[in-house]
Formats: sequence, structure tokens, C-alpha cells
Amino acid sequence: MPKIRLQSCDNDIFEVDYDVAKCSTTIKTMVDDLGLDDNDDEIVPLPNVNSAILRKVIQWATQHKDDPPPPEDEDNREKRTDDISSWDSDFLKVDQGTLFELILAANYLDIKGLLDVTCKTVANMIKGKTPEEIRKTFNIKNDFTTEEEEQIRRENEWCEDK
Amino acid sequence: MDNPACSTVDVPSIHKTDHTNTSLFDESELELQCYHNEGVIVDDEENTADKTDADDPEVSKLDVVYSEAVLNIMQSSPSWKNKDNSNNSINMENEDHDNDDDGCDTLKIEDNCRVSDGESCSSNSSSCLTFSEHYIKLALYVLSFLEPRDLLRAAQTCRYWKCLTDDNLLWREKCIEGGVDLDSVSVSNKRNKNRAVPNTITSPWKFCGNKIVSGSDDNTLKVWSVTTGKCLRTLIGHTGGVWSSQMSGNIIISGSTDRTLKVWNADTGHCIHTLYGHTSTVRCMHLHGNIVVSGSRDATLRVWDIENGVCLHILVGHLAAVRCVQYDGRLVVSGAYDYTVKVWDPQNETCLHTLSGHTNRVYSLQFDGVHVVSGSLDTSIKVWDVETGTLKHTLVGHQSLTSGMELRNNILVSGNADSTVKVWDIITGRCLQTLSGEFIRDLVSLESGGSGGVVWRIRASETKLVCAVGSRNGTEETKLLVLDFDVETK
Repeated sequence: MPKIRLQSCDNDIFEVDYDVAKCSTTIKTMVDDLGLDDNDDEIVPLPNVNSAILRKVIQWATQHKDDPPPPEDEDNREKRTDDISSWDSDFLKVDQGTLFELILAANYLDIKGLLDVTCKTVANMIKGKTPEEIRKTFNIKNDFTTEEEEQIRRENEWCEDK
Repeated sequence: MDNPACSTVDVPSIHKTDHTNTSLFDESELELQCYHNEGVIVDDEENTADKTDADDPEVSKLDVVYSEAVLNIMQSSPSWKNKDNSNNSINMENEDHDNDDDGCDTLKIEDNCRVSDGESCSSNSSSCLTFSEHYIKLALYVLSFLEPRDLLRAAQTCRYWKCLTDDNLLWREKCIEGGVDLDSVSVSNKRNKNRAVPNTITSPWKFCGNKIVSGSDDNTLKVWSVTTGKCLRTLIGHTGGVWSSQMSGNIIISGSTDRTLKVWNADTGHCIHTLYGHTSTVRCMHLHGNIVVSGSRDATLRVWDIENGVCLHILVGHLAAVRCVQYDGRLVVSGAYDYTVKVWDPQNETCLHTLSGHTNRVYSLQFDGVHVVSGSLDTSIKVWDVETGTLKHTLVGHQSLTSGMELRNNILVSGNADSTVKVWDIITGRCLQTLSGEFIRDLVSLESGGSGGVVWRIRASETKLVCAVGSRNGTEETKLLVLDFDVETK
């Protein structure tokens, strides 16, 4: 099986099966464009991903390498967040900083499945919470004036269950 | 004055095209809306360093760092995913992450990237100012997984999240998910139930020499000859109604519900630039020299260089749609549906004063460099000192919305929906005249006046008056009436 060598921003080198690496559309496009020889010493630099995150990404990609490709016309698909598999759910039991970096990495590497599941996880951290609880969760500073806060609360109360 | 020559020009209706539907991750839009950023890589490095260096006693501090990191995705600026990822990655040396300038350069060399002025990224009190369109897309993607109720709660956490959750496309998606039939609700009559006829003239259209430009809900602008009454050019390109425009010489600038501004050559009819950035209808603008300032329903103002077609500055702070704007080359003054008027220093992207006191939406503004005069749906007109931000006078007497005003040499003329016109001295704050009843003579009277015909808007030069007329129910054809008071002396 062809291997590919990925280099993180802190210069660690990861040798990965091409089947795993091609979960990343970014890497796949790169390799398709450049060609890949078995005896090639070429290293793919990933200057936006550090070793810890790249290790996580590779772990995720290994688990999901046989997944069917995501459907194309997702626009009309209902947006669900309760369809996270238990493996993914365990995998994403990480601190917010790691979750954040995983989103950035998934976006940079163009791994749709990972981007979806990480964004859904953040969405789930917002769901069902009051504004104050959301602020607490993400350490957000409330920069509204009292009047503004009241005005926005009034404008937005149409959606609250009475 | 007794017998103004009256020529009529018809505004033909043009088939209304659908609004463009861009998805959150629309690549074409991404290409056009990449912004010059501060280095994400450096930020990541710092976070990583914090993480590895920290000892146990610092766990609580760490949590904060992490929380801020996740918050960053909805706040700060990094953007490095460009059209061609492979090129990007290869161009970037590993050492580059030490130097955010290099990161920026990598962005700059992208041919398809529209890179905004670096200054607009400089950090400010509001984190809104440091965003990149691309980074926002990631945050919006997270938000797209939320239900309307959660979105509205998220909007109440802080200004930046409020900004984010106001995104039009996000709500469009929520409407589709909720089974709301968007085809039966056009953008314009979603806002205004009465506006059922598509080809009404909507934008504050402009006089310039012998030309008039009118913008319409049919997505086009038309350039008219005042002398012949003929349509000289039809400017086609917007994918939504044209709600604001400015004209200077042979340059026309238009703002549309399609969220863009376009810069046109009035002589050739060519579109010179399309200015992307607003996330909702461009509702008002003011041109000064080569700089146009636009106000949008996305609650922001943008300052554009129309020669190069670049966004120079973004002014963030209003909490609702920006309805009117004035710019004198130094300061920007904006009136909004959040009941406030703001005075901005566009160079530093700072809000110098928030003029609060109106108790309803602000619809009209005049600014002479010293005084700011604001007309509101609360029926009052307020005069403010632009330097100190203090309220000088509240002009009361009108019964309804002041939708149009003109200020010249401290004399203000206000037109009001209570069907009177008042003349004020803004220095003393006194009403000098109220023009109503016998003082007003009908220059234009539509036969369909009682049955739906309306004058949408008027505009006057020294000797000519142009009225855009039409109706909501088809009893009056949409057209421009031109009254020329200079005919006798020619």
C-alpha cells in the first residue's frame, strides 16, 4: 500500500497510508496534481497543523477511511446534530482548545466528515442553553449595555416557548 | 412656475431574475472575499506553547485560554484556506509560522484574492473588526446546525455573536428547513408587505447634469436624459432590487438587495467594479470624491475606494439596519434602526459618538460638517453637535416620520409623512414656517391618486423636479415625471 509522509508545523514526520491521507481533499488534490512515486522522498508539509492535532486527525481518518463519500447536495439536507457516532463522540471528548484546532485543521485539510462532526459538537455545546449559560461555556464577555441587552431580548423572544 | 413642461418617461419592466443562492461554502464567493489577516499560525503557536508549558497549578488559567480559543473561531481573523490549497501549502516554508507577515504575503499572492487594506485588520475594541469573511464562514457553519431558538439565544450573548447570527443566508437556510416557501416571498415584500408590484422605483435616484439615474426593484438601473425623456442606458447586473444609488460625473454607484455595490460607467453602461462584503441589503450610501460609504441591513457600514474597487474600512457597532449615511470626507455619520446615530472616524474605524435620544428608527440625516440633523419615526428631528456629540435641539411639531430633509446655511427644510413641510432654524431650534394647506399647490396630481397611485420619491435640481410615480396595484404605470421650471427663459 502506498505511503505518504506528512510533516507537521513542529517538524514531526508522520508516515500514513495513502488511503487514510486521502480523506483530506487538500492532500488528495496535492498528490493527484504532483503524482506519487513509491520510492519518492517527497514530504508533504502541513504548516498549519501541529503534531498533536495531526496525530488526532490521522487517528480520525484511519477510523473513517472506508466511509462512503459525503453526499453532494447537502443544502437541502436537514441539519442534525444528534447523529454523531459513539466512536466520534468519544474521540471528541477533548478540551475546547483541541476541538477548535481540530476544526481549523479539518477545514484546512478539507476533511468534510471531520469538519461536520467537530462543528456539530460545538453546536451541541450551544444547544438548549440560555444566553448566560452560553457565555459561561465559551467564556464570552457580555459587551451589551443593559438597554441593548433588553432590546435584543425583546426582539428575539418571539422564538421562546411561552 | 405656472406651467411647467411635463414630459413622461416610461420605465419598462424587466423580467425579475432570481436571487443568487450562495451556500455557506460557496467557493466562488470564497475567492472573492478573502481578507488580509493577521497570522493564525502565530496564534496557534502561542496556544500550543501555553498548553505544553503549563503546569497543573495553572489549569484554571488554561481553561480560559482554551475557551478563548474556541471563541476565537467566532471572533478573530485567521484565514489561510484559499482557492488552491496545494499551492498555498507548498509556497509556505515551515519557518513561516514564526512570521505573520509571511503568512499574509501568501494570501496576497493569490490572484483571485481581494485583499483589503491591512489597516482594517488592526485590532480594535470590537472584535468584529478583525474578522475575515472566511473565518466567519466557519463560525456560521457551526451556527447552521442550530435551531432558530438557539440562534436567537446565541445572539444575546455578545455583540459579535449578534452580528454573526444576523446572517441572511443562515436564516434563509433555517426558513428552508422550516418549510417556509421562499419563492412566494420575494426579498422586497418580505420587508414591506405593500410592495407587491415588482418594478417599483426604490432607490434614492440622482440628478447629475442632464442625466437622471433611477434604481428599481426589477434589479436594473436606468440612466435618463432630462431633455429628451429617453432612456439612455439600462444597467444590468444586479441580482436583487436596487435600493440606493449615487452619481457623480459619469460614475454611478448602486447598492442592492443582492448585498453588493456596483460601480458603473454611465456613458458606456459597463460595470467597472462589484464590491462584495456586506451580508445584507445595501440600503444607503454617500459618495465623496472617490470614496463611497455604504450602509447595510447587516448593521455595518463599509468604506470603499471606487477607483480600485477595494473595501478600505468596516464600521461595526450599530445593532440594527443602517438606514442613512452622510460622509464629508472626514467623518461618517450614520442613522440606524437601532434608534441611534453614530459619528465615526473611518480612518481608525472608531465610533466617536453614539447619539442616542431618538425613541424610534432613524430614517434621514443631514450633515454639514458641524451639525448632524437626524429625522426619526419618533416624529422628532434632532440637531447634534458633531464634535462633542451633544444634543443641541429637538425639533418637535411633526406628527409622523421625517423621511426627507435638506439643510443649507443653518436652514432646514423637512418633509414629513404628516403631509406638511416645515422650515427650521437649526441654530435656535425654532420652526420658522409650516407649509401645509394653502401654501402647497399641487405640481403633480395623479388621477389614480385615490385608488393606489403614489409618488414614490422626488428629487430636484435648481430648475427641475423629477417625480417617480407608480402604484402598488397597477392603477398607475411606473414612470418618471420631469417638471422643468426653466422652459420660459431658455
